[in-house]
Amino acid sequence: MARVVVRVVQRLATGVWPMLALFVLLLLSLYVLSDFSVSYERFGHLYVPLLLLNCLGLAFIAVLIGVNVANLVREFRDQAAGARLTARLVAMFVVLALVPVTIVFAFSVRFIDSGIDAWVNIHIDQALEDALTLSQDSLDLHTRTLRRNSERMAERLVGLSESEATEVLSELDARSTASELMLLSPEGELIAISSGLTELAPLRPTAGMLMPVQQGETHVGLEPVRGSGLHVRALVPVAAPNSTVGPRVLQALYPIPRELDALADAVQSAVGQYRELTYLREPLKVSFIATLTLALGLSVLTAIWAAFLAARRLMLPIHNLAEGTRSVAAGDYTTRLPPSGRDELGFLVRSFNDMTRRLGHERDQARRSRVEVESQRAYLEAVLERLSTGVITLDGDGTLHTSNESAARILGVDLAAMAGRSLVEAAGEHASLDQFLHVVMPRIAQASPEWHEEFELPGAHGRTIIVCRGARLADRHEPDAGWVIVFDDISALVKAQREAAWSEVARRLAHEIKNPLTPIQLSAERLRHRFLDRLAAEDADMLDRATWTIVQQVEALKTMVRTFAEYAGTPAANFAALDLNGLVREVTDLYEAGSDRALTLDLDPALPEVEADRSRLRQVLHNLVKNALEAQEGRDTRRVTVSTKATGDAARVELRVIDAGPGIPPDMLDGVFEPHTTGKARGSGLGLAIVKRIVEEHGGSVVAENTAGGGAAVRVRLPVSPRPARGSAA
Amino acid sequence: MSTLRRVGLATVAMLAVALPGAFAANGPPFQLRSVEAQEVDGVYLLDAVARLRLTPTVRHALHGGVGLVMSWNIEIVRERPWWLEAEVAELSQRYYIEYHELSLQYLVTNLNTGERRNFVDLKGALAHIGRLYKFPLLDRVVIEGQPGHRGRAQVRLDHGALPWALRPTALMSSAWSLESQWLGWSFE
Repeated sequence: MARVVVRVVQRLATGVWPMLALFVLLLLSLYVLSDFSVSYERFGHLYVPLLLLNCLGLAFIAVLIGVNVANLVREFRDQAAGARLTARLVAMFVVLALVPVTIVFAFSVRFIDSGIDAWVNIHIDQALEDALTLSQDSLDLHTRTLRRNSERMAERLVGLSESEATEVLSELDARSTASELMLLSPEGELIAISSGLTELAPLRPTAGMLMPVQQGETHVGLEPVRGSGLHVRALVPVAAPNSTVGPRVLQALYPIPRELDALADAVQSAVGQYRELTYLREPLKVSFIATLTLALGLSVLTAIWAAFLAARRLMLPIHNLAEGTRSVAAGDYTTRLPPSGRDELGFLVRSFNDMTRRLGHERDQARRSRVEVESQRAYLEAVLERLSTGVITLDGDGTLHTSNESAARILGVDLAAMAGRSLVEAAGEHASLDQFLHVVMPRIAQASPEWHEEFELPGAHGRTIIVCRGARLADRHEPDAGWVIVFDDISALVKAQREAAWSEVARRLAHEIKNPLTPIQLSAERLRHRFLDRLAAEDADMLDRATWTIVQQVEALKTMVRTFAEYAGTPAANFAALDLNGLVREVTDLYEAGSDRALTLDLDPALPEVEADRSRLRQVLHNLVKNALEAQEGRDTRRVTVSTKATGDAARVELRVIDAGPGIPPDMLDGVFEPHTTGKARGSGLGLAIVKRIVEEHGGSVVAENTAGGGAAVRVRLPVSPRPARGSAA
Repeated sequence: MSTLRRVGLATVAMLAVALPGAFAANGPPFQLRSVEAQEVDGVYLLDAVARLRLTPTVRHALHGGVGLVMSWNIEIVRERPWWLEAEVAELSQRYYIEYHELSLQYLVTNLNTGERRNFVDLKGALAHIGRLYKFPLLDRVVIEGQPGHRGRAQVRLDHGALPWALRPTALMSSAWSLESQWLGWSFE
């Protein structure tokens, strides 16, 4: 119910027609009120209801204005669009309406006041007062004369009977100027009357007039008689024949002389009218001002309400525009404002709608373009991420803009975390990056459009060989957009090439050296066989040692040639699931017999199987254990530890062979797996090269390092077999 | 009187509602004491007595030259069962009272007959107006044989006869609200 009332009041507060109807109704009632002198007969009984209706109507309009004000305040608090401008317009309209109306009202009140006051003039008042006094004095003089005459006539009536009195009255009437003579009882009853009386209904005295007469006093007074002008009534006590009753009363009526009567009548009329006018002056002002106040109230309140209406009507398109602008600012380009006439605001609304339509179209276009660009970018990033080649973009100051994973991998630096930073500043934290920039930045500084470099970088697992190309990024809008640098780690390629070369060398060496060895050995044995018995003991001994040496060295050369042959030509591997621990025990058992029990095993019982060629892996183990033992030749105690374990991610198996020898010289550490690299006096330098080759064939990695205790360690990592483990043989 | 004060007075006058009990201290100014209808020679005659007293405002207006009309309003109705009463007759007796400043008397004119009486004091004039003596109402034959006839009378100051400038004030001011209660009688 309350909600309905609020809705109705809101509707009335903002609706035009209900307000217009109310205004007309109030105006009509106000007209009736203002024309009250004419309309009294018809609407007199409605005066108070009409007045109340006006007051209630004005109060209702005030309520509607209050609702409008409350709405405006709420909009103000909510910071609704256009609230401030609406308030300003309303204030302006109200001032514009209020000021002239108030001025007119003030002047009207003043005019009414002074105009009505002008009717009354103190001089006229005094003159009329004087005229009245003069008339009263003049009449008083006349009245006193008549009083004496009446008293003389009364003396003649003392003690007369009714019949006698009638005669005497007729006589007196004939001789006096009285128009009427009557003798009355003390109660005012008629006793006798003059015969000349023509009036059918004589004017009898009232009880009030008789009262002083009954006290023995004479009453004389002026009396206006209807149609006969002013008269003097004299009531004189007349002693009655019977002294037990009160005195009789002689009433004598004297008409005032015509001239005097006319003057007195004129004075009375003028004084009466003037008195009435003077008295009505204030009520007249109140009446006029009340009507004027009602009219003012109606005008002002209607003007204020109209100010709200006009401001809202005027502000509606602006409010819509502000809301629309806010929506557009928030990114809603679908906003369309309702049409708003053909004026300038209408043009503005149409322009706004055109603008939002175009903006929406452009936004959609831009969105499609952005999606396309994003797609292209994602595609490009995917390509870059999958490139094994490192790609980075830098600006002229060395600030990193983009990089791919391969770049981070090759440089060993988390480049993604450095995006937007200057690589030059971060170079101090990373040796490889420092080295990289040491090569790259000078080329950038030279500003040649394209350049090419090949250099080495230090890495955790040795030095890497980098091939690097740089090109300037430039477009129409930004001539110096930076540099794109593409680089690749060609260490593996170089190593592969080197190994291929070494294989060829080994194959040729084997071929070239193996062929003459057999004839040499046979020749030496033939010499020994033919001449050993024939020569003197001394010569025979020398021949024996010489041929023995030749045979021994030929054997050594054959071993070397065989090793070279193994390096050069490796048969196809036969991969199968392999228990590495079992293989380790199998190989180390061979060394246990002849050694001084220097081998120590530290095998992980839960080691998963690896996918490997058993014979090749055995060779790896042989080479590593043999190397470890040979590294400790000449020492009193030799100690080799072979350990196995699974890596943290359980994806690989790690085999470590650690010796207690002198360790690997630092200058050899990088190339220890290179062919023909050895720290031993005797050795082909192919043992670790073969180890590396076999491990890489198995998809693993091998690293050599010095231990903290002074020895060397070789760590081999092999991928775990994808087939389920069959359990360890340990 | 200042303009501001006058505007205030006007506003107050507009908004004020007449208070019937304003003169309750001395009783109502117009009070109908008795009404009695008698049949004399086939005609019903009314005797009524009212105590009339003018408020100071009205008395001041009278002395200020404003003539007043006092009106006796008499209604004769017939009551009907289950329905509104029917109006049989409506009569009025009107008096005009004015103050004659030259003679210092109050003139009372019977507006029905034209008869004028003079009174040296207001009390006498009002007493004259406040008494209806054998005022003819209607012939007996009009209501004869029809039961349920009743009459009622009231005396009041006629605002419509006031100068027009005084009418709004008179309508809203209790000082000008001079009317007696209705007093009824039965013809049975």
